[in-house]
Amino acid sequence: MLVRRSVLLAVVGVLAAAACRDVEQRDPAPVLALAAFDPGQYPDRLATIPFPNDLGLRGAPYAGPLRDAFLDVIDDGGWRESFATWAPFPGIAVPVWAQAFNAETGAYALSEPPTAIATDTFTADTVVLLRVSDDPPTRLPAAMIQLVRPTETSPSVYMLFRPLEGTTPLASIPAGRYVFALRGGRNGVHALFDDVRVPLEADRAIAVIAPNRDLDEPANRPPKPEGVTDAQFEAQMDQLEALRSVYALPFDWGRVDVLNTCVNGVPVPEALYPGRCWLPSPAAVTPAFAAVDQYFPIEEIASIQTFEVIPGDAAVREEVTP
Amino acid sequence: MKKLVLAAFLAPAVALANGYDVPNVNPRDLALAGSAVAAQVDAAAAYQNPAALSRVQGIDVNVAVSGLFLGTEWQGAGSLAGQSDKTKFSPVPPVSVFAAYGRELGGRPFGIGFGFNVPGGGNVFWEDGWEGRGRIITVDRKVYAAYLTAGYELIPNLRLGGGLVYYYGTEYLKQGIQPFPDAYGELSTRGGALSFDLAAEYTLPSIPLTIGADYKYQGKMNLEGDGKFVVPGGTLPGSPTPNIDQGVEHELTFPSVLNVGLAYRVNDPWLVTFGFTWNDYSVYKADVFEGDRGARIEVPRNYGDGYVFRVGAEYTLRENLKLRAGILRDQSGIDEDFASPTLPDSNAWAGSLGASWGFRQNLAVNAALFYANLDELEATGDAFPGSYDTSVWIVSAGVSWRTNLDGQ
Repeated sequence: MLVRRSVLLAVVGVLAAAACRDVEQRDPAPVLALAAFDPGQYPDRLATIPFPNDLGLRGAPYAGPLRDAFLDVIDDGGWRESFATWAPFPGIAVPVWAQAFNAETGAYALSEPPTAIATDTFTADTVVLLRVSDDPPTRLPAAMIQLVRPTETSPSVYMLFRPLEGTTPLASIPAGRYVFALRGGRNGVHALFDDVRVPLEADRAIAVIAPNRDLDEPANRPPKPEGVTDAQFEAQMDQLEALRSVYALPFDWGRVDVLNTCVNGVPVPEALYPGRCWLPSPAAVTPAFAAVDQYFPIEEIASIQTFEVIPGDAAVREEVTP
Repeated sequence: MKKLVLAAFLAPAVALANGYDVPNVNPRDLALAGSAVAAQVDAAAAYQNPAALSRVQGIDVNVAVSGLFLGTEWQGAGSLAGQSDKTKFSPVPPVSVFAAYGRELGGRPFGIGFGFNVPGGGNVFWEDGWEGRGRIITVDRKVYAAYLTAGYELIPNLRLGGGLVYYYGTEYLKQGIQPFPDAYGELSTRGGALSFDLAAEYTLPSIPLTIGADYKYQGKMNLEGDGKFVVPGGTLPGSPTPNIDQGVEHELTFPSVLNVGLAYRVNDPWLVTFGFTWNDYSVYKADVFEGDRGARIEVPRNYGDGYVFRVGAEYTLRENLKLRAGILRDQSGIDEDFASPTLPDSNAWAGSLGASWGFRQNLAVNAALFYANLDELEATGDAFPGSYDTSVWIVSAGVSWRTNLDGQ
């Protein structure tokens, strides 16, 4: 009888094994390289949007302190002179930080940033600089001209890009609206940790908006992380949706008005940026996402930055702290 | 213990009403809508009512295969109003294989039987890019069961039975991770549990009425396996609790079930059967997946008990040809506040037809067709918004050999 039962169970086992799809675990990636949206130090970031990125600023109005595990990136307000500090115009800075897997805790934690960037991964398919105020947008060649090492106050490395003329970095850049984007992932730019190549990934804020799905719709939202209240999560989604919108929709507004004339403008929060506002743009231009999508899939964006160059002025006003 | 970022690595699903129960696909039982708990006539009694095994004489084999086709159509509501989708065509083939042997023991009829079938499972295959991919894409769950049971006629007209039941569950679940179009998590687990069966059958001496009952205790399966996250770049970037592949445990209880029934021989060609089923689905409060790297996913279910009312009739047209039909009403224990595309369950009406044809001595072919229409379910509470309209078709065919039992 026992033999008979064993045979039966064996048959059942074989059937079960044949019928159920297997899932095999993989070891977690030892280290991750992330193109920071907020160049501050994880987990205590400065809530500063790079570099230059006026759309990012526009899309992320001050919403009170939401510093938490999910999105300590676009909230606290107060952007510094990051552009002027790190990337004298017409340079563009992309901060890169890293997380390493800790087997003891089973989680990723801040780690040493990459030692270098695999320059052979800078190609026409991975680095895109576009003047989107042209119709159609004009592409300008760009290249990394410097890798700024981390400092005590800034644990990220910074890739500094400049537009090129031939092989020579431009000293100035024509007026207009610009979008700069780096491609991440397997087909994108790679960071180097000594000899180990690691694909550059988007920081969470960019990763969540890059698929360009309406985040007002709950079905499109990412899972709510542990420790985040429903109210916090709602606020985060509001921020991200506002951010997504400015990259996804045609620009219909202009630069910060330095003359403090907010006629028809959208006021920037008073506590954050007194006397400033965004002014309507005289003409709509190609949305940032749509422009980049002509060159690589936007869901593969690791870093995206936008800025405006004012005629006769080689400065990006939006990035200058008042 | 952390909660995994993946909110709803969901859970189970269907088959047909009442949680994830699958109807008995043995053609005779299916054709009678499962109402024949007091009218078992062959080796399939090893599952439906082992007490009836005491009426088997000699060797008896009953083998059947089936095709189960389940489809769910979703209509969005609220912010998803106007959207719709339906599950992919993905039939599954539950089987029913039983053998029995009967003889006298101590001067009283005795029979022993064994076999296996698929009493539970889920079969939900949504399109990869559907609106609810963040809740579920695929549920492929199967609960196999093997039986070793016996029946003995204790005194004239009173038969008792019972035995061992071994449940073995497998499941594969896939859930999209929004808003990333190519990101998903999946897990595969399996495991088993031993349980038991108790049964009885009593035929009234004065009228042709048989009363039957069968009780199967729950099987608490500890499923173990692996969970994996497929996210571009390997993890959700920047998250302090990124999705890391890990081992997964899931305790899945296949609920206790009590079937009671009546079989009444109205006249020579007509047999009428009645059945009532109680499913202890109140044990199904949540699906909890525990990862060995700190992840924990809990999907609330909050089921209550389920009940099924069944009626069937068998008509002997000729000595070697029997026609059958049945109908049932299933009252599911689902809580609509927790309704989910992972488990398109609801109350249901079902009807069935079938026949047996003895084409040789001691050899017959059996077939049945079963259709269940689940009531349209409106998801409420935090459930994925919309209505779910589900229907199930089952076709079953098989052979029975040396069926040599006394009739009703």
